[in-house]
Amino acid sequence: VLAGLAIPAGALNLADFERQVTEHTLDNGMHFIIVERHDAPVVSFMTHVDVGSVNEKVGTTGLAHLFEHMAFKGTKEIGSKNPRKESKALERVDRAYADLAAERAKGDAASKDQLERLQAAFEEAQAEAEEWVEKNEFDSALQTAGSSGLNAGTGADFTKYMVSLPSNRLELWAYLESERFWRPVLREFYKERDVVMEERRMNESRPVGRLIEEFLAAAYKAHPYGSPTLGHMSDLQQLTRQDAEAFYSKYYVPSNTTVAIVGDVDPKRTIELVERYFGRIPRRPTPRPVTTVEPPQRGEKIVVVDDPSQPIYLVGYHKPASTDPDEAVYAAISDILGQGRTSRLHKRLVKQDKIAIQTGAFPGLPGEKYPNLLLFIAVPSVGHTNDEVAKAIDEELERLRTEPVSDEELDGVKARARAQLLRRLSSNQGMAWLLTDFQVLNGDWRELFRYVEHIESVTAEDIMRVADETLVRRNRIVGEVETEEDSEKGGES
Amino acid sequence: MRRAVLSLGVLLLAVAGTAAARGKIPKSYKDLKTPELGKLVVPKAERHQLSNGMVIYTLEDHELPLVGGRALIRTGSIFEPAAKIGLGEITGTVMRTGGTASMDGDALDEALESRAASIETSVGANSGTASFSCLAGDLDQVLGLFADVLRRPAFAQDKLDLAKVQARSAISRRNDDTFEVTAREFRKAIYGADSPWARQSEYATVDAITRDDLQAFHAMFYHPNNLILGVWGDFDSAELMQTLERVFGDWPRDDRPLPPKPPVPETTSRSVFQVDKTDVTQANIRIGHMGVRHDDPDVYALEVLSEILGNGFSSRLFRRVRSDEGLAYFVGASFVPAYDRPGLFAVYGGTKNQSVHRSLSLMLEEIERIRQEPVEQQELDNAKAGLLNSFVFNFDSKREIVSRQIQYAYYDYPADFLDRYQPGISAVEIDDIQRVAHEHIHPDQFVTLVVGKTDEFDQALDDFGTITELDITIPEPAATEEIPEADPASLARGAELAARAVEAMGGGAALSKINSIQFGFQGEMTTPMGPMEISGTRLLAYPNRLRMEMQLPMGKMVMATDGSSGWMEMMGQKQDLASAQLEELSAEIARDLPWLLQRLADGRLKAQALEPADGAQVVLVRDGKLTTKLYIDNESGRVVKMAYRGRSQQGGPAPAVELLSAFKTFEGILLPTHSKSLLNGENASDLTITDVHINPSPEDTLFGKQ
Repeated sequence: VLAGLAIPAGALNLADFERQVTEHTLDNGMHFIIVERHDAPVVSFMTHVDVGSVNEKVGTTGLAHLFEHMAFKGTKEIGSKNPRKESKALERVDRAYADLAAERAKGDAASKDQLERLQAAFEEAQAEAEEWVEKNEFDSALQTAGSSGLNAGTGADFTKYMVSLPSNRLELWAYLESERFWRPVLREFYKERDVVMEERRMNESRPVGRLIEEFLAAAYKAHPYGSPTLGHMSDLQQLTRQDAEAFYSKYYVPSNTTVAIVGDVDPKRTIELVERYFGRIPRRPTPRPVTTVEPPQRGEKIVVVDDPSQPIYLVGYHKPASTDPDEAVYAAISDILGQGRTSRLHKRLVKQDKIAIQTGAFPGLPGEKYPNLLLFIAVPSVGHTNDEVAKAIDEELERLRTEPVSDEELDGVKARARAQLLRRLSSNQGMAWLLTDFQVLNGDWRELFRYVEHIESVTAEDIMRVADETLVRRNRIVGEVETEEDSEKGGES
Repeated sequence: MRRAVLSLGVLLLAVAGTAAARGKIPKSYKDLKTPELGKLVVPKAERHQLSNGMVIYTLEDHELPLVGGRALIRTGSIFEPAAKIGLGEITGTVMRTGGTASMDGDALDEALESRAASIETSVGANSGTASFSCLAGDLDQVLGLFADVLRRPAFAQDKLDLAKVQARSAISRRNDDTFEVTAREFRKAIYGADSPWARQSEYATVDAITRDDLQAFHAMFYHPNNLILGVWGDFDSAELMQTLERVFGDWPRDDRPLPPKPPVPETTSRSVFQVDKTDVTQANIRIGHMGVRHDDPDVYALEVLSEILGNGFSSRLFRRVRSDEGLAYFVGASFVPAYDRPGLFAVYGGTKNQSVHRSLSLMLEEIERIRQEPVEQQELDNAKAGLLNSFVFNFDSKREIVSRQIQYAYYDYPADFLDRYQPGISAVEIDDIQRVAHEHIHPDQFVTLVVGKTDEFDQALDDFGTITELDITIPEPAATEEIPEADPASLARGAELAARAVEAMGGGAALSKINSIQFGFQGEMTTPMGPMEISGTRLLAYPNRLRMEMQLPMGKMVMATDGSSGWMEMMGQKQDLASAQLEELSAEIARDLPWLLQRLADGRLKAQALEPADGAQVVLVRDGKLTTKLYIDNESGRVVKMAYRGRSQQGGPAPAVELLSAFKTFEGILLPTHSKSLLNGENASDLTITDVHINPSPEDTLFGKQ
């Protein structure tokens, strides 16, 4: 049973790993983590900006994500056929949009003719500006160079930009990445805003997407973790290019940006290049973190989504930010209850009672930087209800509060924590993701390795103590998709 | 002044010199010098073979103390019978969850997860997979378990039951997600709803799966000479081969040939399908037709074409539909080749319900443009450069290198097949793109599917073709009914009731004279395509020969059995009946009313009385596996209704009911001349008997296939 703990010699440990790592901070505060891996002539880049939807204000939800899209639109030179003329044309677009928005803001009092005229003027201004656009040049430059996995992602706490390239394109990456975060041009803004609305529709067309949005809104009445990263539709409809520029100026500053470069690179040459390219970006003040605190819940919250689809059950418990000393205990609880075939929820609900087809646990919804939720999910099997799975989950949670977990269970958690780290570090991109995450959230990428050590020191008493504090009714939010009676089709019920 | 100017010039030079020393930033990224790419040392997987024919590829990688493995097995759900759709997938699941001869499934879970290891198995459309992952120190133990899972799965009944609960739950949820609906219905639209490459499981087909089926499926396909294993990671190849010889070496080979793969259509016809999904704000669009195999000589030109047309952020579709118009978040198109059959050409996108027609039009315009106009040199160069420059990513993971080798071996492709890629892509010119766009994109074969809230569409889609609305309602599961055991009392009461029915229908003497019976019929039948007019004759020669001739809108169809085998003929094509179809045709005989009554009259069959229902007395007649319920009218003693387990249009079992009326006497025997049948409670057919011949003395040749 303990075989898993006997990690063989040569297993990755911090001291060995550190030899591959070179760190460098520019004068402007931008931080680089460079990891040498010479297996194949490729390199993965991860630019982590410490901003997410948590930084949005009422009325501008969706802005962090929309800016992420805009970061692919290029710079004054990249993406333009004539920067000077384009710049003038973009100003006209802004003015036309402002006029239109002002008329729209009158609501019912707005003149229909005026609206039509302003809409036409706005569209014309956009068409003029588009004439100067060199379409998708930023993407093309990377794709032509042989990029793989070109993408970006926005979460509640982070915005990450990622790409892998053949290693002889290091300078190309430094050129493009420094330019776009130094002097981006937010061209085609209103078209991209439409694209983002489509992304939102894609999400809201899925039952679980609809449920999570309602669930988070119920869980947070004060903290911005309750707002959807994709934004509310009516906010998206109001966002302007100026909003996005202001957001960029405030949050996309070098000292708020961390970059991991993992692969076939020479650290000395890499530092030279990042000094030359990213060193051009002027220093600016680091934005302040969110100060709103979610007050303790006064009682259980329940949110139900009536839907034509089959039932889904979520239950979340408020827990502290991932920097809390008990974070490893939460990770252990999440593993014991909800990860894998030997987890308690799977054994009970799926294998034994056959009332669910899937169970799971996640220790950090919707983010990790601020106090967040320990989430459990169950998907009832055909003919079974949310009430049945809720009862079984409650019993399992109660057991965790009142009985110590066995040594075998705890040993399994520890073996898996280390092996999982190894697996996630096996790809350049996976490593770049983790290193930037820990550097930004915990202040030092080395915490990634220490985190495994923390899990290895979790005791059965720790689990009982934390479970007893956390897994209580007044601290929880329940979210359910319930099948609407009248639209039920097929299946058993 | 001059000096000053000169000194300024010197100063400028000096500044430039410093910049050069520090590295100068060119005005455009296009002026950057690209150094030679470091030499690509392509690690090669080693090929081994055990004496029983099992092929193994290995590739060492000592960076991290991890080992992974993946096996491909020549099997697939395309080989499962139509009445048991889901068998392959469930076999793939229960192989792992059901444990092995030496360790039950739960113990296996513990043994693996306590070591942070995993073993997973699955069966897809045309291959089975088994994979493992573990820490290097656990490799021996995990390989032992891996071999057991492949060779000696226990298929424990309780884990089969669990897999069936999960399969049924998946059926109940299959319309919840737009992407799942789109992928499934598109496959059915291209390959045909009944094609093994596309058909879906139903409650009935899952219910029909037994443990014996799983064992037979496993015995049929899982052999060492039918499996290719790849292993990569932190091990010593020589030691690994010894372990593999130990755990797999005594697995006997089996040289029975595999069944042939079912064909795929060569072409499709232009059609438009629509699914109304009322809970979505975004519709899903898919257009496509059959594509090419990986070894088609045009595959490289088509890859470049796909890159230009619809792959990724710089493609035409992305630019037009997303960047220019803001109509979609995801949009694209590509040829997706397959190894063993032509793959697909597919164009896809998602857009709000209110812009479906417009987006679809733009997508079709871009397809037409690439067919009609030569692509620009710059577009071509960029697409080729992107593909060639990213070629190196084929080699950045050992797992990928080994997986590719086992894939090639599985489909009998040359091990160095990838070597053709770079020259293939490099050679593509503008003319090639034009030629392959014409030869391989056929708008007259486009199958278009849209899943969305149809009443919100900006415009009806009928200008793209005649719209077929697809009904994706999930067929209700067949109610499984508990039939009470027969006891002397229910048999005695059953005999009384049967005697009453025999008397009312003409008496035992008249019935005993029947040795064949033929009748003509006409009426209406419900099919997946809607109601259909039918007429025909049905000839039954006792005890077990049957011939049905039917006139359908698409032509004449004949089905017959001579008691041992069966055949059908349609549109001049004669073919043997599959076992499930033959079973169904034979069951048709055992549900013939005079046939049943004759046997009840002379005691060859027994009736068991059940609780009265629907204002009638009910008896159950068992004939082997088949059971038929007869509803005997209280007053007249006539059999007015029959109920049995029939088969749905999809091939799964479904409760069937026949309502009998308009009784007339033929040669002393009272027979119904109107029959209305229901399947799963829905109208299935409504037939009138036009004429009846008792004992027509048919030729033997009518029943055999010849």
